[in-house]
Amino acid sequence: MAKKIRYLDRNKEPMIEASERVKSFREYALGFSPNLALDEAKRCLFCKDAEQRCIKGCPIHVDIPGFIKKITEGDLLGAYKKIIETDVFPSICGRVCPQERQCEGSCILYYDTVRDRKAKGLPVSIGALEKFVGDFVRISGIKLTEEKALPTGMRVAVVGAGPSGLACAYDLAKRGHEVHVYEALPKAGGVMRYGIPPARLDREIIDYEVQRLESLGVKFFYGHVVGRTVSLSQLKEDYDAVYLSVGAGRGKLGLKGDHLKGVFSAIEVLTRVNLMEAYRFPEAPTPVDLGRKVAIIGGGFTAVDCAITSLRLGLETHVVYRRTRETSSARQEEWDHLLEEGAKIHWLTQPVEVLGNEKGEVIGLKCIKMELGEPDESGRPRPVPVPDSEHVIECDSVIFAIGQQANPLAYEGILETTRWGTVKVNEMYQTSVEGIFAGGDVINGGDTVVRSLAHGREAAKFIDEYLRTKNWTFTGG
Amino acid sequence: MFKVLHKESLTPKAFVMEVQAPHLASAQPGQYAVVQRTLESERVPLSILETTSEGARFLVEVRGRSTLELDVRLNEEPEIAYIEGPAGVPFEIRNYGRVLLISKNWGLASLFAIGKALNACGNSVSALHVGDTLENVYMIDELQSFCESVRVLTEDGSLEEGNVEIALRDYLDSAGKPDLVVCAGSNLDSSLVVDLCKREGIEVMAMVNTYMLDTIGLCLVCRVMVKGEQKLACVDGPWFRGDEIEWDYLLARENIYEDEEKQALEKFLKQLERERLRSRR
Ligand code: FES
Repeated sequence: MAKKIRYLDRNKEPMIEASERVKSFREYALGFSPNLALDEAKRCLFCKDAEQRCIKGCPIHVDIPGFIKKITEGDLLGAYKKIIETDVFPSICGRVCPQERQCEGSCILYYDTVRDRKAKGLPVSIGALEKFVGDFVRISGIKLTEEKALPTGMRVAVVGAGPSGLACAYDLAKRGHEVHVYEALPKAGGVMRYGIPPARLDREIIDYEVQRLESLGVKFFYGHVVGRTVSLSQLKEDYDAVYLSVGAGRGKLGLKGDHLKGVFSAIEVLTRVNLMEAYRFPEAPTPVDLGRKVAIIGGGFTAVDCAITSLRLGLETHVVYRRTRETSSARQEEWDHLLEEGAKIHWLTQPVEVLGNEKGEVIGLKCIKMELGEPDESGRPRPVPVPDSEHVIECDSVIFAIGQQANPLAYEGILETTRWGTVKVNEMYQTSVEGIFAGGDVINGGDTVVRSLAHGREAAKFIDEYLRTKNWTFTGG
Repeated sequence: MFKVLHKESLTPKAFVMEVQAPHLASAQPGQYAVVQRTLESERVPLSILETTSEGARFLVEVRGRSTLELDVRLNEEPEIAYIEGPAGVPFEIRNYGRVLLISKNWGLASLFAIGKALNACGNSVSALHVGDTLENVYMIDELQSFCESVRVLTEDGSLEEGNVEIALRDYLDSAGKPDLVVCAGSNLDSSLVVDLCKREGIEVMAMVNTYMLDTIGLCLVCRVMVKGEQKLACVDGPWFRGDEIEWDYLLARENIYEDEEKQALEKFLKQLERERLRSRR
């Protein structure tokens, strides 16, 4: 009997109620139970040409049907091993990837990427399954002994303990190299630690992954600012190779009135709350003061993270974005969650000025309405101002979540850069200085966690090759 | 964990400590470190007084919750969970000629290493130190060891009464114009010094005093305007040419978290009080 295709009965992860989840920073998506996971796994059609579909849609090319098959076979450890062949951190990616634009967006139940047409169903919940597998192994207490090649005697320095650096360190350690990770902040994880709120990514998960690396022999040096404590050039002398993965995390402002008291970069607010736990102030000594109403400018992941944060601080939360929801790079379901939690989201709204009082404090955000006009170069309809649509959103603070810029501290004057200030590399992640590789946001200026992981792993392969051959091909340009 | 090898009270409000932190060994004059007593503690930037064979020495003035926490807790357990550094751009050490250091309160900590190094490379160095009270006067002997002249005033009159402006004017009257003035410790006082120097045509370098968070150039909380451009105190500073700093901008942002700081201090004092009661029982 032909297997019945289950187009529509996609399982949902249990969630904490909106009214309840805004009261704390604990994770609100509670994940599949084994039974739910098994049932969801059975929806997968195990496409023969998955390479052309979900696997292609995944930036790190996880063997998706492969791991889902293992779930259906009752082999969760096998499923985990399958995932970490390509994606070292299943629990993290399962939580923070925008799957709808990646694997799930190319699931045959939802979209036939081979024939390029819409299918009639909902995709397999690949993200939730990946998260389930990662969580299962972590929570079960099973200690996986990860295989490791014999020591090569080679030493590699990784600069920056964000997703890219951690992924690279993992692979290099597995290949038998001695890996030292240099991190300025007191904890590893980069943006996963100081940026993404614990409501989306529980800190225990990052701790667990860092411990996995430590048990592979990776050593971490916190409080080391490369560019100050030690220079990149010095590291290159001290090690056989260097992987630079410092991200591009410098905040950005840029609007009339952004000097006012109450104007913040997203990074500042997120760091205060998520790294320094300002939501526990004054028990935790680091404060945050956003007043009672906050306007967040931006429509990407960072804006979502700021909104999650400010709602949980109990504030009236406005999100202001000049484009539409469809063009947002955040997960669509996150917007739904925010709406449920009471955020006011102003699509097609362009902020033009932060307004202040005579004391220099923020009192509002002046905006104009936009409408969709002719498509621009990228083919997206360009938002154009609606005449006479000026209005003011009252607020005590304004958070700029409009993207980040390069932070050149580690490589200024040493590596060739692009005109955006990011580091120039060739397709093997080699920079202009032999022995120094770079990957993650420091080369692409701001992308997803999973893309950074992919860079880290690919770079590890090329670093390994370089250590054996000492071949350097960067030619500049 | 970093060991505190030595800690000594100078006044009820100030102490010096020496920490074992080899990664600070490369510190140059003008740089600072960031200290968190525990991983939950606030990130406190501290000027590096001098490097030692094992790490560095710091002069800490107790001004709020986090410095008080350091003082109290280090007496109980001489360990620090996290030290980042050296951070900031080193001060340019060269022969300027005659250099005058002007410090307000803890600003002395920031000038110490600079003055020493300037003296060592042939400058003639003098110092004016102004404390709010006698409790903000310390390390004067050490200061004298590399200065031609040192003058110490307090604003409350517990020592010779005066402020930085008076001190600088007196100096100019008696000794003439120095080739460089270096000031630190208070934005308001530094801005007054800079004003006077500008009028007199004296080159002046000042340390800006801002909130800091990540201290690696990400969050922008430490932004200052220098010559019309946004600069970050944590990575581009903390030293800038005094005449190029937009002091109004700096002064407007320097007390953003004043209320919270009070609240945090009160909370901590209460906690200490409770601990005291408990230990008496
Ligand atoms: S302290 Fe965050 S940018 Fe300077």
